[in-house]
Amino acid sequence: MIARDPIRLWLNAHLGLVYLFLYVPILVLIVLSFNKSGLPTAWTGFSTEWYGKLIANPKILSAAGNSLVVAVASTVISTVIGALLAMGLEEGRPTPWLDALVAAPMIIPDIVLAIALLSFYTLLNMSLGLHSIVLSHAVFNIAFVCMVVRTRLKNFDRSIVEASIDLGAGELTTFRRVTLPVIAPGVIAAALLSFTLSIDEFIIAYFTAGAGQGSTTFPMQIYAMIRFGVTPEINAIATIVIGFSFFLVLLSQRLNGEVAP
Amino acid sequence: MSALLQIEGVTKRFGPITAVDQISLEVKDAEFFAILGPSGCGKTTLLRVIAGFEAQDEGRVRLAGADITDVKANRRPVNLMFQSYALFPHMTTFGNVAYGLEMEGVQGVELKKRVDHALAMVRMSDFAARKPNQLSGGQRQRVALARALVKRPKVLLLDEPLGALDRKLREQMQIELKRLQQDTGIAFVVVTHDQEEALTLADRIALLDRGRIVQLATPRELYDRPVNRFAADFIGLMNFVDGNVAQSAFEAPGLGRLPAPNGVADGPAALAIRPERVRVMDIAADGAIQGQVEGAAFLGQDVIAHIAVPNLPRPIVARLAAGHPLSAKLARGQQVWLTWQADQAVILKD
Amino acid sequence: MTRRTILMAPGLGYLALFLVVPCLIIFAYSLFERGTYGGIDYTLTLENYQRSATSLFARIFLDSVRIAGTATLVALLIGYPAAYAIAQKPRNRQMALLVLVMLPFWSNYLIRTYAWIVLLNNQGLINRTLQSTGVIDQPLPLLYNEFAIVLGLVYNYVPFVILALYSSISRLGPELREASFDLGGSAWTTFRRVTLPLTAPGIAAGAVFVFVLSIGNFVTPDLLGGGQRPMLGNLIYSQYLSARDWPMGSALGFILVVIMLALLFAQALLSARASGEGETRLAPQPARVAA
Repeated sequence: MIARDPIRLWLNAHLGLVYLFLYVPILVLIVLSFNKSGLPTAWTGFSTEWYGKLIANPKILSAAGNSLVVAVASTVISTVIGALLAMGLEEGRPTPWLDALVAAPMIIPDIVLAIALLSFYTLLNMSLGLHSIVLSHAVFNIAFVCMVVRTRLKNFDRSIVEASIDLGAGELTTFRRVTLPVIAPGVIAAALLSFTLSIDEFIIAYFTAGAGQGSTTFPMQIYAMIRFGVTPEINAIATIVIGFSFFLVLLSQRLNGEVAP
Repeated sequence: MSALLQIEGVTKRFGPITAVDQISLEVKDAEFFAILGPSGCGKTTLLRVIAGFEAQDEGRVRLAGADITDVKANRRPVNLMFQSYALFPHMTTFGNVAYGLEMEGVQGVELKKRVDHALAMVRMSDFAARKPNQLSGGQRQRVALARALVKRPKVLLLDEPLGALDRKLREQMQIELKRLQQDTGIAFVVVTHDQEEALTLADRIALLDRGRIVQLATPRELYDRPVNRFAADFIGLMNFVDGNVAQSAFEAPGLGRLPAPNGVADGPAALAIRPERVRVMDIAADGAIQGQVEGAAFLGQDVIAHIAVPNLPRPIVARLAAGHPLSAKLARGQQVWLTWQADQAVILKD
Repeated sequence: MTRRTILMAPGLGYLALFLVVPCLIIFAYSLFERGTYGGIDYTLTLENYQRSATSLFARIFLDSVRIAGTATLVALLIGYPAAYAIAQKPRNRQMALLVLVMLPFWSNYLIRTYAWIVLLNNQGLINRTLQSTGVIDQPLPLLYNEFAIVLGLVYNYVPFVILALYSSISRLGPELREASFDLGGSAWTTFRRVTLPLTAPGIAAGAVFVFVLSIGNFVTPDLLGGGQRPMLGNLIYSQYLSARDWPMGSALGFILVVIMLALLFAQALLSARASGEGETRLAPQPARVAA
């Protein structure tokens, strides 16, 4: 090797520091969530007391329930619509304008989408609530589902569809027995992504939820609590949320890693 | 033998490009037929028209006398082996081969029997439970073959069947393809850009260029009697000497009269002669042209020599068979004389 | 109708109704006057755009550009060597290292931001530790200032910068660098004349990503800046929900979109020129993941 070991050493040290930078804040939250006093000052003993308080807090529970409803509903809508859209876009000639339209929800700033949707609903005199959050989340979820499924379709050898037809299968049989099983891991990964995005989304939900605890989502509840001040309960929430999202990410990584062809 | 597959005046356009231009040909029962041509000559499009994946703009396709022009791809008794093999990645070898039979409603013991038989035919019985990504390239190809053959199609279409294999495997598979074709008695139509493959495999070859058939002939005819410069150049190695035919004798400027067959109309023409037909001598002879050895390469048995001839833009290539008295002695700069038998040269008018 | 149209109809219809129409509405709103009680007075005007250039708005706008620019620069300076280091690792370990980089990126943005409040506030972990070890007497003002905002933005977006740079650097392969060494280039010359120019598209992609997400950010300036340094996102928020001046908020939103499109276009041009294929494709970027 060429003598660049000092550089390599320096790079590795830097990388180590970056990982520390990324993980220390998260680890601090997790550790604090088990600290009896709940304060960052001193370790006063292991306790799950804050988790107990969390479970007893009806506001947090209802917000979590709301988020679950919103995430599941918008995931179902966007997975179906987004996967079909992806299949359509991958068929035939490339259409840059449609590609740009479909990618737009991923790049448009949240705050702009939030005010645009609020203005739209208000103009329609539509009532606001969980349903309007679902409709709003589906906008960006469709784009993400479409992107993930398209990636899967691009790696998919089109000739297996023709092979199926050549061997005597009709269009529906081909879809059911060939296309769907092959793209399924991509669709499931897309659904998981869409679920994660929806359950974490704050600003668009905040604008389109309307008033009242009845449509407060989990991130809205967390925001309210943070605005109120640092409390040990948030540490416990944070630990659960981090654990949950890490689980989802690793799951979808696994699914997408299982590339069949 | 009767015509099994008849292509009648088929034309296929993609926008302003005519991919297949008024092609007519017939494939006989149990024939091994090759469609040969450079990339972009329309050969794959023609294959896809036969399979039913492209609708032609003009012309008809008939199979065993019946017009199948309007029959959909999944109803045609014709199967295609894809260039990429197109094996279903989520199914086992067995599942892949069974798929086409399941579409015909074959099930149970009968299904298993026929799939097993097809796998045995391509020597893949031991790999029935494997998925495509656990198979080598050659094994995948065998599965693809079995999958198409198990349906007992009237015609099996093969798109560049050996293109993805390395050289050794390709030679082995050529022999196997020939054996399978003879064992099953199914007509094979293979599309290839590899002239060697077409020459070894096929009973007859249709040579395509820019959507048209240039020559339809047996391999030997195609090799010995190419109809034009494209055909002569595409198949094997060929020397060309530009000149003129006057009073049915071929003359090249600066070289005089050269040995050539009679009976060609007067006018500008090119003489074509294969390297192995060129006789190389170290003494002058009547009617021989003089040249100078530019270089010689030993090919294992034969020797290929490049001989510069005055007044010719490119050297003449000669192939000296093993045992030729000069093959071991040719040295750069050496003077040699070249000639050939008149009937082994071809005069091309275009 | 073709098969393709049928497949795309629900998706395109949905986006037309819930994306294109709402965006057109706010564009239209931006050209109207504010009603007396917060509604819309349908009188055409360019006043909202003129007002956006007045001192109050211009200051916030400049603050936003400065903060977003600083965050972008810092994220690149941290991200580039990290991405480079990952690209030097054995192939089989690179993927795991990248997943490890991206993992925090996928947890809730609010939670990630909150973690810094815990660390930075006056009674927070850093100040308490420094005080109890006697390094300082008074707590350092770490929170509710520009420093905290930049830190929060960098923390949240550096994973994506690393990802974008990694894909650019790893595509390079070692041969070009080795060729440069072979021809007598030093490590620094090789980096400056070979690696850096060839990874410019990745740098541009990462930079545009951080800048666009930072300038439109609402949560970080709100929670870590404590409202001391409102940015464009906070301004739009307050125009809509506090001042109830929807036309003004819409105009600002439209300006934000124009900035974003201009940057994305510039980046697409750059990467098209770099790839030499004239491929002007807007790279879809998972912005939503981040904010």
